[in-house]
Amino acid sequence: MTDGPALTIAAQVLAGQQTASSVIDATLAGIAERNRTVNAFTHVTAERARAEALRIDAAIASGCNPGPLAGVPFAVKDLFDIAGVSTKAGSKIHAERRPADRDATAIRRLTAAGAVLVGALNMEEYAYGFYTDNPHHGRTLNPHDPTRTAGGSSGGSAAAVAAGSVPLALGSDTNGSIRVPSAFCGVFGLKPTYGRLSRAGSLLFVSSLDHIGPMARSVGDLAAAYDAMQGFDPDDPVCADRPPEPVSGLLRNGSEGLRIAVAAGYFAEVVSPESAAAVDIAAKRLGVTHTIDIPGAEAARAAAYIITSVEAARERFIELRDRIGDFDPNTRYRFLAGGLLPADWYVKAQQFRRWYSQQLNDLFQRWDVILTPVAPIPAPRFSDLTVNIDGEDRPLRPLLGRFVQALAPAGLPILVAPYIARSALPVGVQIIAAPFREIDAFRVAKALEDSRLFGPAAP
Amino acid sequence: MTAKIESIDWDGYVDIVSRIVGLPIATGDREATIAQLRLNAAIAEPLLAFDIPEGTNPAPVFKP
Repeated sequence: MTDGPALTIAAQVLAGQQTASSVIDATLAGIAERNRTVNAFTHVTAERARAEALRIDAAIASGCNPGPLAGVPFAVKDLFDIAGVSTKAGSKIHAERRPADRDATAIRRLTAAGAVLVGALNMEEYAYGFYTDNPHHGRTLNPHDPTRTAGGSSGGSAAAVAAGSVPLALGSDTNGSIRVPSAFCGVFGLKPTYGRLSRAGSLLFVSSLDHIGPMARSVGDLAAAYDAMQGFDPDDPVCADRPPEPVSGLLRNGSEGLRIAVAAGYFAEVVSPESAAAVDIAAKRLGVTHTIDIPGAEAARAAAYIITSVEAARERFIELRDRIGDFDPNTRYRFLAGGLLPADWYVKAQQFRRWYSQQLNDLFQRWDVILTPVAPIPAPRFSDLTVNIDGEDRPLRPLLGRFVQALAPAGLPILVAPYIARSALPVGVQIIAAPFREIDAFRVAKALEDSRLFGPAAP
Repeated sequence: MTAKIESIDWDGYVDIVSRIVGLPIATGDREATIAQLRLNAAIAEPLLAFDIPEGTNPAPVFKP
């Protein structure tokens, strides 16, 4: 078994039922086959993966335990440094940069747990967008329907997991870039609390809002990857100095005793029947009857937009000044305009962020978990420019981030649970918890997964 | 700047600010950049109109 759960692969490798080398060989063959249609991978680290698998097999043969993820293949969004490989970040410009000297912290920690890196995954250029329609590295197709986007900006990560190429992948989330592709491709995804996981060795897009996190086809796999990556890292200046708080052993606690509410108001408006139904079904399954309002959501989305515009332009200032012609035409003008915005708007956005976080922290005195949709609609076709909701045709691109971006300034842990109605496209539910209470989101996700109503379906 | 977004001379704004910050906008990029600035301004409106309590600190805190 190579396209099954990560924890099953690890158990079989540790028990000697299959070797890490056989897992990796089969995984590499699967990637070569599936990537022809999905285009999730931008680079395959075949030689390195085979060497690591041999080391794991040798360790097991000598009686050593290589870790809880022994022999589990994983891949990373192409903004994580991989030793010896150029970190492209979806761009033409960075593809020309010298190879990275060492792996990103997240890769090193997964490798230390026995997982085996097999490659880098496609993304929007510099993580700016929700489509993964990349002019330099190609368009990643949704495994559920190749005419539709896999979402973005971590579209390659979600598509690779959904297609069964790897059981685990890493993405990054600034304004929803783990959450939207997880929903569109029908996989579980985690944006942890801001500062929980080290971003060291990943190319920053918007430092104030950037998170990294895992994607997987089961809650148990997601938890195992998350646990392996936890811990303080002095190489990331925003990494929280707190001990790891593993969640894997607590998933069986279920959602009993958690105070759960559904967000109404802004989060229940401009939403398709499919996305709304997913939240309703989750609420019913969890026995949730309360609704709440999250104050300032519309302004929060605006604040996230302004912070993103300004910081993204600052991060890429030299490239914008010297090589503007090499930028994706879809992102070029967002970057340029962001470089010209007034400082007053940016500072007000950061002031708002402080106020907004306090409002949410107050809500989390009364509630443990809040549910909202991920995107207002399932994955759109690449050719779609508008979508009709409530009888009104609306421009598509600005719509996709409505619910995810409105939560971005708060830095809360948010786990996406995929919901796939029969013969339909996947949609997702955001399971939002208080800062550093990832465990509450995991417990709710596990309860939903156990209901068999939530979780990935084969594309 | 918040109340009269539509009346702003974005052409003049781009000329001045791009020179101040050292980010030249090529002739071919100018129209689309201005369109994006107008969009940014429209998106920013709910934030700019939001009444934040006086004395609210910006979110990032430098910790020496």
